[in-house]
Amino acid sequence: MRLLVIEDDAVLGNAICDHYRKLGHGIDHVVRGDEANSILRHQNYDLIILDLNLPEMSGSRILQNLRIRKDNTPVLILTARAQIEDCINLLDLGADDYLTKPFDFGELDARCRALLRRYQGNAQTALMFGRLAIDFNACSVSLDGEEIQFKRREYRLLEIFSKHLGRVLSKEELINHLYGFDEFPSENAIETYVARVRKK
Amino acid sequence: MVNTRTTDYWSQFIVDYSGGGDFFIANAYGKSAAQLSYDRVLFGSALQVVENIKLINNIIVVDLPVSAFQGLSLSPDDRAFYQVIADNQHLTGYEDLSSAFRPKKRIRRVDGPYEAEYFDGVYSAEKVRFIKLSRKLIEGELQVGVVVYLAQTLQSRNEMAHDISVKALQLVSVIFTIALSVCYVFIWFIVRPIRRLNTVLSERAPTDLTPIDTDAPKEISELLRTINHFMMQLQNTLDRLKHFTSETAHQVRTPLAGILAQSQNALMENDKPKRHSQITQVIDSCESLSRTVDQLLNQALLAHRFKSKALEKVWLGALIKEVSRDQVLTALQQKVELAYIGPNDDCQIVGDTVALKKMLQNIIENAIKYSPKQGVVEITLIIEKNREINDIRPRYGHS
Repeated sequence: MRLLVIEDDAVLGNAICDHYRKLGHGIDHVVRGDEANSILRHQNYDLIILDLNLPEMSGSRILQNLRIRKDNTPVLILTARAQIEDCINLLDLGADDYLTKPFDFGELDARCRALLRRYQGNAQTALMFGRLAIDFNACSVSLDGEEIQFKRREYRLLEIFSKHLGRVLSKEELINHLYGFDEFPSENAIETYVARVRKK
Repeated sequence: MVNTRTTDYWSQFIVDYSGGGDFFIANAYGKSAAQLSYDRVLFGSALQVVENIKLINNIIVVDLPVSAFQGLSLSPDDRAFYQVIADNQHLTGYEDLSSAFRPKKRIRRVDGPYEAEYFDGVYSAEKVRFIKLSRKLIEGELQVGVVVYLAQTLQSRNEMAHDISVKALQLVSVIFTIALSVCYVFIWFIVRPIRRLNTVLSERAPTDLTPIDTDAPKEISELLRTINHFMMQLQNTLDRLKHFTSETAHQVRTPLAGILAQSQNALMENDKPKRHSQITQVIDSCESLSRTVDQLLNQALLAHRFKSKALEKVWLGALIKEVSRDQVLTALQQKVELAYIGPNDDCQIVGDTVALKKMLQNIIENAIKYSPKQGVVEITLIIEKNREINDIRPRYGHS
């Protein structure tokens, strides 16, 4: 999945990026509000993790602009305020969910997974394709009930395919979903991954 | 309600005491009016007696006319006594009357060539009003001093006094009642909008600090404006507090989230250099958070001191130098140079030493924090007429 993290605190931003990169997602980290706003005009993401207090442009403004452009990308807000009215305001602005700082990665992961599932019109946590079964919570794949070992990137690739059933995806689309701006994958790498997934 | 009770108490007080006062004043007025008119009659009679004493051929002739006592007979229930004395010799009338004339407090009234003295005394076991009138009779070289004593019992006089008092009291009561009713009506008119205001205020939600919008007469509109102004200030304070709280939450919770997230990462990281970098980030974050908490606590301390501490005289220059010296080491650790560039003359201001120290420390710390490495922070005290300015300038670039 392709994620955008908009967070002005360097340590927190880096931590989130490290975490999701390790899980095999493509991730971009932006510090300034206006920068995030212009990136979102040109690039589609599967999920946006948004802080509210940002330099140059506030998080709520970015969210507003996103929704004005009819962009329905799920947005998870990181907020320091835990008052009910603040949360209501955020949800009214178009946020899909929020998390109060500080948070546990387990909770962040679960909320992100839930948002992605809902966005892709599939609220189930597991999928079956004939003999193949994918458990999105445990990130595991099994064939005829027997678990197959997948590398992280390979699993994410399978995940992307499973979320776009009945569609042919171009290499470029796959790259867009799998990698951040900082990574420079070749189309050959994608072919290799696809070949490995097919083999398994 | 306490206010209503106080008002009731006061109105009761006014009615009681002004009523008592009225009675007293009416009584005194009646007494003095009766005294004055009856004294006139007494004087008229005494005058007629004294005028009818003559010296004819060196013999004193007393010829008392009936008319002399006619005035006194206007009060039918009273008795009158008289005595005429010439050169201390009893001439006519009641012989012991003059001996009853023992004035404690006499009132003298001079009327023409006569000098009259009045006083209240007792004669034949009855309270009487005395008059003493003197005259000198002269014929040739002969001079005779004649004194007339006249006394009258007080019954009619007292009746008249009572009569006047009662009438005056009746009149005063009527006027008093009318005035009181008018006052009550006026007070009711004035208090009515206050009651309405009270109702509006008591029916409000405790969080509703919007201006009160009720039509008020001129007398109350000033009060209403003050209440609205006060509520606006309260709202501003609450807004500021809310903003401050959310800002504080952000400043504390964000690095905390970073620390938690990055330490979770470090726990799972197998790559040693990567883990090292993550732990370094955690430590940096901790330090930054510690500074933030220090600043917030300082702010709370200052707010507390501003409310509770009396101000004292402080040498500002000396204080700036002291704070700068304390910060030199911290500055050097961050590769920033700190320079106090004078002037040497100092100035004294009125303030709280600890609060000023904390504020100066905060300014200098911030200047150091936002200076580039190898930069110089210059601290100057500019003393202007009637005001002092502490100027702290980070000078960018190499020293």
